Amino acid sequence: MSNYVANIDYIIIFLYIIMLITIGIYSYRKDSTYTDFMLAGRGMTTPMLISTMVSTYYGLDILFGSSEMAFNDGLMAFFGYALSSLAFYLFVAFYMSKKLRSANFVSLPEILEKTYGNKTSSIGAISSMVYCLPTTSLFALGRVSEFVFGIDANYGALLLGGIALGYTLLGGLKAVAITDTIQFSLMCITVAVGVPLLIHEVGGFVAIKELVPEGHFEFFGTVPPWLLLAYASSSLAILIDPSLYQRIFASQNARQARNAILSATAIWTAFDWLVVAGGIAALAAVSKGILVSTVHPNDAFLIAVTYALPIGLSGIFLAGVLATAMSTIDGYTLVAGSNISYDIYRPLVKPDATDKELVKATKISIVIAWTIGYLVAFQFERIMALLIFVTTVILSTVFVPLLMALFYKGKKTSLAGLLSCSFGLVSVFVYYIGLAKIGIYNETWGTYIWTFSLFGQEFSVWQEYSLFFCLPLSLLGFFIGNLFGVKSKGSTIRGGLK
Amino acid sequence: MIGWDWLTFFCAIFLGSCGAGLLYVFLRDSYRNLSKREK
Repeated sequence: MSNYVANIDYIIIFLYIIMLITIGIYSYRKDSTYTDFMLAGRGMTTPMLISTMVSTYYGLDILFGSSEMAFNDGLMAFFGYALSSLAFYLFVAFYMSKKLRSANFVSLPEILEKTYGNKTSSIGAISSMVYCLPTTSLFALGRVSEFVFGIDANYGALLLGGIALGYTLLGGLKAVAITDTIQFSLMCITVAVGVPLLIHEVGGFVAIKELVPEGHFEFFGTVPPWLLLAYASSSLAILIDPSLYQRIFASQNARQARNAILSATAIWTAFDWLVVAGGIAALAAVSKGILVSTVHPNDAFLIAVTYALPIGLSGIFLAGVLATAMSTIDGYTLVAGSNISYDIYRPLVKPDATDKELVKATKISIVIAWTIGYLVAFQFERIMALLIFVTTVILSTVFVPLLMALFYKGKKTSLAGLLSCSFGLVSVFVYYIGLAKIGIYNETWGTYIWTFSLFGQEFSVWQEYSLFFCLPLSLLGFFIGNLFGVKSKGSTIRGGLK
Repeated sequence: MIGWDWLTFFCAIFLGSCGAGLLYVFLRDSYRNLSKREK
C-alpha cells in the first residue's frame, strides 16, 4: 500500500465504491426502453448534463497527459495544447448542438446511415467503437490502483473497471449520469483544493519560477510549430466525439445542450489550468527535494497533490482520481456498446429488432467492448501512442462525411460517404505503417520521424502529422464519390438535419 | 503572489464552487423528485 495514503483515506475510497454500486442498483429498470437505457429518456437535467459531459471527456489520460506535458514542457501544455480545444467546444455549442439535437438522433453513425446508407455508417460505427473502447482509461485505472492499493495494475483495472461496467449494465446512461455527477463534484473539489495547497507547499509561483527551467514559462515552449499544429488538429476530434454527441442527443432540447456545453467548456478550461499548474509545481517539488528525483513525470502530479493534502482530503482526492477514470470508462463503454448493437447489429443483422432486443443486444455489446478494451489495455507499452492512433482513425474516417452531412448543402451520394470513409481509413494505415518503415524512432519525442532533403532544404515528417495527409484524402474521396455516385435516399436531409 | 498565483486561485475558486454548486442542485432535484414520487 502507498506511503502517502492513510487508513481513513482507504475508508473514504471504500465508501465511494459502495456508493457507486448502490446507484447502479437504484437506477436499474427491468422494462426500460432503448431510449431510456441509452439516452436516459432524453430527460436529463442541466446539472447532470454538464457533469456527465465534463467527467466523461476528462479522463485520466488527459489528467496525467496534461500534467506530464506540464512537468516536461511547462506552460505550453496549457497555451499550446489545452486552449486549442476551446475553439472547437464553442463551435459545437453554437453551430452543431442545435442541428444534432433537433434531428432526434440516437448515435453518431446514425447520421451517416441517414445520409449515406448502411455501408458508410458501418465503417463509421467500427471506427467510433474502436475510439470508444475504454483502453487508456482501464490502463490508467490499473496504474492508479497500483499506487493507491499496491495491487497489480491488471487486478486493479479488473476490479474497479468491473464496478463501472456493473452499474453501466444495470442503469445505462441514467446510472452513468448520476455517478458522473458525484464523480464530477469529487474531481472538481479535490483538484481545486489540492493544487493550490501544492503550490503553497513549494512556495508559490515566485519560488516555482526559480526551481524549474526558464523555458517552462514560455507560452509555447520549445515544441516545433508543426507539432503544435498537429496537437491542435487532434482537438478536431471534439467535433465528432461520439460520447459528446450522445450527451447532446440525451438533452431535453437544443438550448439546454448548448448551455451545458458552454458551462462545461468554462469548467474544462479551469480544470486544465489547475492540472498544468499542478504539473509545473510537481517539477518544482522534485527540484526542492520534496519528491524523489526518480519520480515518473506521469505520476508526479498524483504523488505531489496527495503529498500536499492533509489526511482525509487525500482520500477524497484519490477517490476523485478513481472517479475521473471510472466516469470515462462507463461513458465510453456505453457508446462503444451501442455502436455494436444499434449501429452494426440493427441495420445489418436485425432491422426490425424490438426495443427489448436492442437493450439486450446493447448490454451484451457493452460487455464485449469492455472486455476488448481490457485485453488491449495491457498489451501496449506506449498507451498514449495508441490513443493518438485511434483518434487519428476516427478523425480520418468520420470527420469529413459527418461534417458534410451536417453543413454541406449540395448533393451527397452514398459513394461519396463510402469513399470518404475508406480513403481516410486506408490512408491512416498506409501513413502509419509507411512512416514506421522509412522513418527513424526518436526516443526524445517517442515517435517516428522521417527526414528528407528537397531543393537543398531538410524536411521532417512526424507520425503526428498524419491528419495533414489523411483529412485531405478523405475530402478528395468525398468529391470523387459525389462526381460518380448517384444521389442517395438519405441525402434528402439537406443543409444538415431537420 | 504573482499573476500565475492569482490565475490558479481564481480557477480553484471557480472549479470548487462549480463542483459544490452542481452537486447541491443535483441532490436538491433528486430529493424533490423522490418526494414527489412518494406523494
